[in-house]
Amino acid sequence: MSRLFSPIHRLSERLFQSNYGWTGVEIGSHCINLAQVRKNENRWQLASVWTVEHPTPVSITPLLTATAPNSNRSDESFGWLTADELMEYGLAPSLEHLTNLSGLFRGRNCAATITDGLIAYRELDIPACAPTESQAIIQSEIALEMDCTLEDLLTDCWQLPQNRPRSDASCFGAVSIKRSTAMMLASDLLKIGFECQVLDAMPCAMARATSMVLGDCNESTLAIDLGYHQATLTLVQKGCPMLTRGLRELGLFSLLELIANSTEISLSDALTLLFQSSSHRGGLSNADDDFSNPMLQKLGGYFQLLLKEISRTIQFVDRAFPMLHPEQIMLMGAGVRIPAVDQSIENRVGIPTHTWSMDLTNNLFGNQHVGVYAIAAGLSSLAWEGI
Amino acid sequence: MHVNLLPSSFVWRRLFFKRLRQWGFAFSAISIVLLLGNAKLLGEWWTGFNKLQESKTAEFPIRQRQQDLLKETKETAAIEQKLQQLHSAASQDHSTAILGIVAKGVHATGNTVQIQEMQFLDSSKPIVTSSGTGDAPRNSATQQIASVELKLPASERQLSLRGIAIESESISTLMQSLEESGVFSKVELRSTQERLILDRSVQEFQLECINLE
Repeated sequence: MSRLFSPIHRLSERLFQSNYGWTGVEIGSHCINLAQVRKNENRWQLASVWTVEHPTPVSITPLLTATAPNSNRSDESFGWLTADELMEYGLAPSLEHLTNLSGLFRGRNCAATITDGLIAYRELDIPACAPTESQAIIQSEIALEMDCTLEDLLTDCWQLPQNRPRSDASCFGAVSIKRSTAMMLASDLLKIGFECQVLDAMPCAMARATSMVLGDCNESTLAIDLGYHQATLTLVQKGCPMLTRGLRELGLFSLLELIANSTEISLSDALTLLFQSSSHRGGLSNADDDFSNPMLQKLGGYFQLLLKEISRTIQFVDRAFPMLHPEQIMLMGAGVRIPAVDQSIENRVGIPTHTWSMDLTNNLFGNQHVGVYAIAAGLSSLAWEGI
Repeated sequence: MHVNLLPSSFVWRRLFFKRLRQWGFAFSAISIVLLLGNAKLLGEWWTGFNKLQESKTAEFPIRQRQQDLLKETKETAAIEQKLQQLHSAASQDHSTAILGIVAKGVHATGNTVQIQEMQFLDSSKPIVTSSGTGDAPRNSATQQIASVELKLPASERQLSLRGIAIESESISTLMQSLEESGVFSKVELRSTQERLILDRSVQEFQLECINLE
């Protein structure tokens, strides 16, 4: 039953919408995470969460097999979308599964974003000028870089703190997406009854998700999203992204490939192996000590690289923005399912590290890692931003 | 803070349909509120309508009764009219009343007078032609009729009485009684003659009673 034609659903939407946020839709390369938050006496709660994995398109399965020569990868039961594949196949095959979830989320409004670097992020220094002029300059720069016309490109930007106070230039964080991709995404969501209000960028969603947990404290927080295709580091202060880095080499997909190749198992098995809880594995600290386990070797290598990038980022922040030194690290995304990942990072970096967490309004969803839904929750909270 | 990478065309289109939906919802809500607000009025109207139907139902036998009464009234009026006509017809026949007055006069003489002939002078019709003993009717009805002030028609204003009396005083008494009846303004003795009937001397007389009006 489509929510578009459900009178009871529409009535309940109008009666109870005030406490509930929009449906946050985080579209990743491996799956779509949906979450809806609610405010209960100024306390955030996760009302509903859901995950839909992308089905493997038949036409791109050979492509996956080709990129991963291991023969036992042909039995993949889930897909991995790249930006090109997203453009080619759209979201319709994945979103078909969401039509049955109309009763799970309240309201038709939704906010969406595309993670895993599918929305391009870049930082630009442009001469100080009026905001509209700045945006026009940024759009021209990005169009030139992407080799497309201005009409085909949608961009938005926000000002970042200037690390060179004496310079006349202003620093902007800018995100861009092709108009056709944004239109396709909004149309696909509309087909299943979700009315997309905002197509947000990942740094902003990460900043909001962090603020939801920490409140409007002045302390800087380094939010880290461990996604499948890239890890995103965002320095957050007062709900605003001050600095963002996208680390493509730190995507979980590359780690899974390494594990699958070394242990000769499928990607799905590698994923299960990586995320399963084990008492004898304690993340990086134990992985360093056990070089005989190929999976732990790969995981150790991944963590070393991750810690190195975190350290580099913190060093850069300390040098460029001493006032924004992160007081804590907030982990979110699919990577939080790796056992004891927060402890491993805290032990090495020396900064208090937490996994993004929020109370569930009920236990229907079991004891799962709610940090996976941090971005979607951040999108859901846009309902209170007066858009 | 947030950014929005949705195409402006999509945003405007979404906004249009959103407002359209909101206005539709508002219109529906207002309609429902107005309907609920007038529920009392509608209830009153419905109650009144029901009462009207009930009163119409109750009115039917009353209307039937009214029609019956009207019919009866008409019938009563017709009967009364007939009665009046009958009474009028009865009143026009003054013979009975005259007879009663004469009988009363005879009674006043102590039945010593016998009326042998009574006739209106202008009419050839004799009222009473008797050869009896002089017993006149003496019932109450005759007395009541006698007390009525008769307005005799022109043809009945002169009455001639012929009879016999045992003595002259009886004739006088009869005349006095006829005069006192008020019907006749003048009673005249036309003739008197002594006769022998069954070896007894009686006075044969003829009176003329005149009603001048």
